[in-house]
Amino acid sequence: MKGPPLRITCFILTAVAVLVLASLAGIEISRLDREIRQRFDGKRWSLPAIVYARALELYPGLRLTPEMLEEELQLAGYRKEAPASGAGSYARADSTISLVSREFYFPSGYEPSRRLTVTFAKGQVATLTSTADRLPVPLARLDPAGIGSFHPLVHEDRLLLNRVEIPEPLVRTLLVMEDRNFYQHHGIAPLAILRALVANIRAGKTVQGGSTLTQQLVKNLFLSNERTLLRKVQEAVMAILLEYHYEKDEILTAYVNEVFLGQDNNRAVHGFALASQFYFRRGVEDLRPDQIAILVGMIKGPSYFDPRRHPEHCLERRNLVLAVMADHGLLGDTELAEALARPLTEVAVHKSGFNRYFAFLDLVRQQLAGEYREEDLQANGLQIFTTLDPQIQQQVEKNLQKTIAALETQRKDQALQGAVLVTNRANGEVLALAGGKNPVEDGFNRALQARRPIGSLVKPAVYLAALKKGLTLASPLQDTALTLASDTGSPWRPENYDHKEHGTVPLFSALAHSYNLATVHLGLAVGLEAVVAAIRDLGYPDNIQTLPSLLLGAIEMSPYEVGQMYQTVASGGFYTSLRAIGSVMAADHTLLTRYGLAVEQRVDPATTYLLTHALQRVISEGTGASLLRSTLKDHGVAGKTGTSDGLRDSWFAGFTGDHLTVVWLGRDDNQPSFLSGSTGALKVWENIMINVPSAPLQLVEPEGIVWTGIDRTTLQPDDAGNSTLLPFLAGTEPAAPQSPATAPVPSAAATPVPTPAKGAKGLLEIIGGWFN
Amino acid sequence: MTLVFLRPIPVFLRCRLLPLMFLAMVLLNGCAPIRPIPPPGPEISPPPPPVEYKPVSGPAAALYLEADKALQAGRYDAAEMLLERALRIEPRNPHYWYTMAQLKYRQGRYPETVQFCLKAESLAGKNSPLAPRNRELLQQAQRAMQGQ
Repeated sequence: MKGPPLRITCFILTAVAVLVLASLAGIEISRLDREIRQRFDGKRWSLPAIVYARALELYPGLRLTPEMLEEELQLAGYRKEAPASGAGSYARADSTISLVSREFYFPSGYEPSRRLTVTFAKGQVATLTSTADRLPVPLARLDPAGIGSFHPLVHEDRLLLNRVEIPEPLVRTLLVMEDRNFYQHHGIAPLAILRALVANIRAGKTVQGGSTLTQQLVKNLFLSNERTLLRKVQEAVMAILLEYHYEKDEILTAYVNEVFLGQDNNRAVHGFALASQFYFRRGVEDLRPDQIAILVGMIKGPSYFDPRRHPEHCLERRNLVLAVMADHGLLGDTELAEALARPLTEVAVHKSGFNRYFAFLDLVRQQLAGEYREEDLQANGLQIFTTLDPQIQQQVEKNLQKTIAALETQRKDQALQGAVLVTNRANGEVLALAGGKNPVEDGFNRALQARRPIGSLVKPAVYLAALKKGLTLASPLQDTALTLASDTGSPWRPENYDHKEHGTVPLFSALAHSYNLATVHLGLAVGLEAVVAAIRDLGYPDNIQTLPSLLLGAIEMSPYEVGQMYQTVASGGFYTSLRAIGSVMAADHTLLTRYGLAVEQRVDPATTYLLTHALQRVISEGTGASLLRSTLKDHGVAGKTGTSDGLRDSWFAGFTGDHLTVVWLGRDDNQPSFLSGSTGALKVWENIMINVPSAPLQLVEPEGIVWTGIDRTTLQPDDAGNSTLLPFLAGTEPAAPQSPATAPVPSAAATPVPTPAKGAKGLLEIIGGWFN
Repeated sequence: MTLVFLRPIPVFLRCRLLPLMFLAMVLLNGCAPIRPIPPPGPEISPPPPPVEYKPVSGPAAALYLEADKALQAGRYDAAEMLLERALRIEPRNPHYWYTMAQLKYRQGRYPETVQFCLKAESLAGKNSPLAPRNRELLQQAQRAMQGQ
């Protein structure tokens, strides 16, 4: 039997092949269509959470110098120009700064852009006026500096614009340079492709691209960088599909937000809005023609035409774009000449606070971890408002580094490290945090992670326990040698720092001079349980071993934990959880979380008052007396030095009227640093605090405090030469039977607290059991 | 280039998922990161009138006055944020801490009222004209706590 003629067989085979190919193409096209719509209908970009510093509140009387304000504005990305015109600019003439703030959505509401003039005198804001009408402004809140974002290690960043926010000159320049028929074509421009093909064949290499904006967007969003015919076909099909589904303006807006315009270390700069901020510190609405030309010119090769890395390429390309702009009527002759004449001077890398404060950002991340998932932080455009004070942070970083360098040179030891925490004394907000001497090193965060023996920093808890049990600042303590049995079998023989015994000393003096022997006697007398309770009251939550060595600081804490404890003393006996975050807002400005102010009284005001007075004596006559030689001598600073065994850790925790600052110095390998609290940490503390405007500490005297002069040797009431005036809870001041005129106190019957002599005996009796 | 996109849920799945999503929303409501604000408790007695004297001449006065307005209008969140700003500027003004206590009282948050009163008291010091008012509010809050 004869089969079908060859012709028919060929025809059938061809038809089948065409059908198969067509259905395969159909399946592929519908896959691409689905991909495009899924991505374009959903959220187009993942935006990392952005972290802000505290907003600066300006008001007359604020302790601030013009230099400090200028630095603050620079950090917040303001540009200097004269006169200040667009939002985010400022001008300075001596001690007058005029600025135009940027509008901002705070968790508490919208703050419009304002034109303000600030004058300064004597280290303060003298006047704050509205620039336009010169009327006084009582208070103005500036938009805060962005200090970081949460993102994967290598990442893209962008600021999103709506179509209406894209200025027309930018749109027209973009179209003239990249796609003149954008509003006419359907995704691809066959003629342009042909033209490019011919040009490229003639040149023997790629000299011209025929891609429309839509194709470029498709390439950036969906496709890899490989140059194959199949990829080119895919690109064309997707471009047509994109145009079929979406409006021209939507595609244009996506392009403006997507286009890659340079690299900032690990961060890829995408979109015109971020590029405009990154290169010129301006919003897109403020771009000049020459700046538009630079950015549009960069599309062709963001690295090759980078104004910072290749200024000569960039300048040439900019001038070409400017010429094209003029050809198409976007610039007049004078504008063109003016733009051509501008040098590339405004693109210098600015000092930026962005992703610089690693230690603080660590803390922010840690505090958010309980409530937000990593994906939320990396993708949902959250806005996180923190408590960081960039001014103080800078002083902390600078002075920690500087002081350590000086100590290292002095001691020929390069292994010294340090950590610092500064909080707001009143509300527990963390204002600055340093996790090491090198601030830009993103590594071991000693402020949060290095748990070290706190040495004498524990003593305020011991003395607090004693004051709570009714002892007074004048109670006599025995600073005499003692030996205690220990669990390890070998007896424990504590010693003083100077290896001496000081005999009978008043309680305030034992704390001020940080006498170890007196403190051990005292702690054993009041009981270790009471000391542990005091440490807990102050805010240390973890387990504490009730061993006598606890009394000299054999308890490990991070500088942050020490800060939490001292915060309770500093804020008058009120516990406030240290906070680095004020609130978190969604990308659409709705408030998600607020971390409001809460306080809890843990120690009564009178006892706190007595303890704080003793801590002021640490500076006025004790181990912190070197502060008296600094400008801080009249600041009433209260604080405590701490040194751990073998001079391994050097600590100082102290507060003024406004700030609590904790400093730790030591070595990562835990070898001796040969620094005491006074010779190490206190120096750092001093260098930081003389540079931070801070009110002096003025204690508010609570009800029921009386002041009595006490002789430093006899510890009897006396107003003569060797006496000192001490505060007492009314009724606990020592009576002076021999000179009733100087001691108008209640009778002994009304004073349940032992007299000094009795008290001393009682202490000895109690601790007797501990002797070997 | 690595872009992360959130893919929308296809329509057919959305329909099936709706009851599940509703259930999840109900269950997860307690996990929402917004700090829950308890409903105002029963007012056992009206909060004391604001103190007559107004030591609000400092730099935070404008914020305080705005906070007071918000407080009177029942906009407690706004009032709280304004007071926190005022306290950052004038942290030792007992009057602002007292106003914070008033705010907490109106929200029915009596333990917090007590704490803010104690804080105001510790800063007002001896013989302050604020002290009697503050003490009265503190006692009211304590009574309210006992009543709850």
